[in-house]
Amino acid sequence: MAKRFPEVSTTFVERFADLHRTAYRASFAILGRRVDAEDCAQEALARTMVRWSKVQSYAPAFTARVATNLALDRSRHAGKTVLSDGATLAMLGGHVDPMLDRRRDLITAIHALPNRQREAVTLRYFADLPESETAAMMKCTVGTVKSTTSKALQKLRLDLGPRWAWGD
Amino acid sequence: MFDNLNDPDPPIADVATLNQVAKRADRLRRRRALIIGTGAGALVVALTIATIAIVKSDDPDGQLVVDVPPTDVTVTTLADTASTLYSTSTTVASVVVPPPATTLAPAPDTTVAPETTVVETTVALETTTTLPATTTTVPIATGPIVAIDANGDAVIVALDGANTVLFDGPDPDEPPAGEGETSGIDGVAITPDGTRAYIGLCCEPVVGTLLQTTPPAMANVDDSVVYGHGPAIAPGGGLLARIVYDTLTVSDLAINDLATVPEDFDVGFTYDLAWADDQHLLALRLGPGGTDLRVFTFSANTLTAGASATIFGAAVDPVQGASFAGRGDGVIYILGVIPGTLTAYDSTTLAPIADRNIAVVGAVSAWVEGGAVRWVDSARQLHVGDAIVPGQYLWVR
Repeated sequence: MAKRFPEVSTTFVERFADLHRTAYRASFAILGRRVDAEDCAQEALARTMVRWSKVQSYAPAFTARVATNLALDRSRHAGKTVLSDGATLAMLGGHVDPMLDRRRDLITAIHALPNRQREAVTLRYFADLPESETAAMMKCTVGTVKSTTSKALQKLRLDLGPRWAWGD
Repeated sequence: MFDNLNDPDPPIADVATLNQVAKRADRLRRRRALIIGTGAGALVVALTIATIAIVKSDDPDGQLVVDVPPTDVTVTTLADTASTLYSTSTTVASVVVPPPATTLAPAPDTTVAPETTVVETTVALETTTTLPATTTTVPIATGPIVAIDANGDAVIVALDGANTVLFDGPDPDEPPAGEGETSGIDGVAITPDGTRAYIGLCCEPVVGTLLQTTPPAMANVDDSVVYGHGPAIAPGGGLLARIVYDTLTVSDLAINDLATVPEDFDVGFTYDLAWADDQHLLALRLGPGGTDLRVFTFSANTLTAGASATIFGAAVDPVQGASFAGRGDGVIYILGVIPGTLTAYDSTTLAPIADRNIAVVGAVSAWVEGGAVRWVDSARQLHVGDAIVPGQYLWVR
């Protein structure tokens, strides 16, 4: 491995499992399909690896941001075929998403959020980043993250309504 | 709060996953080097020309004599156009002959005390020869010309600069808005009759996005999205080739896929496609072994791999970035193999055909069609025949 890819940093390898968990979690929350989520996670990790010397100090946040953006991008482009067709999901992914309809509604609502609110809510809740890392990634204070997230959730609740399963 | 969106049984990252990620990272680095190399290559060529042009004289006054190269570009077209030399209003600048070095003769080997004689030599410091300017009309291919302008937009070129914008692409001189954003147009293809155009966005989502439109309508990124990039239309106007992640795909103009060939990323990835004719699809692939040119035969809805030739070995930095530069009768042209030259290869055997090479000094993008050349120079000027199209451009086809 190291011989074949000599540019792979040992610190990247040491943190790989954690970064993968973050990237996959963020991707799956948006896409709901293992094949796509794994693909997005790997792409996000590859981009992190390429920029490792610059981003390693905030690698989880960077990886999460890349993964969520890739997943949102993919959901927007492929939404008509991937998110609406359970048979296709089962055939291609070997996995039927029990949250299919709710996830589709959520992604639509997420896309409707202002950019900063969308970034805050995806980093905090999809990638499960702490407020401090989210703030560092968004280049703002923790207080701003709290207020931005709160506004985003309010808007999501309004858009999605009480029928959407919030799990809280 | 969103826990019910999580995968209850997420995969565990292992060595195989890390291996996959490392491969992707390697591919990203190469692709990035290649994209950067398009600009860097032009800069290298320009600097090389400038360096060669500067002749420092041995003038004791320290005067620096600079031989200014011709400001206009000379295009030499061989076999395709009956070995005709084309010049675009070429004014040859002064040719400066530097003074010869003065060398003292070595002392003779003798026991007699040598007698030193200093011979004073006077030479003319500059000899100037001015060649007459010549003007010849360069042929202009019929059919639409597509380009990517300096704003990153895909356009159909009009000689007066009143171009038709096919897609408003991201400005390549501006930093990307963020990760996951569409990274830019990597190719434009248009049918010979100009009725359909395809724009390749490389490479977000991961596999790239192919947009299609019917000019003069603009393509919409949210409408009829198809995966893939690097579109190339066959000369007959009925076949479209594109790169879709790890496959080369040929389809009809409605993008009904007709044939695909899988790629192996261990060997490399294809970054440019061109048709030599309606049966022969050429591909440039960058891999650990260097840059390869490959040919595929399309027949009965099947793509069959044919000959393969190495353009650059692994020792060559991929920023040299070869790219397709048009086609002639039985040949395909590649820019970037030899500086200032569109190198001709037999479109079936891939053997170099040196006497059909075309010299286009300073070109960063070029395309030969019907014996005529159009090209973008390092100052981002688009030359179409004798005309320089108003505006700035990065790529032409």
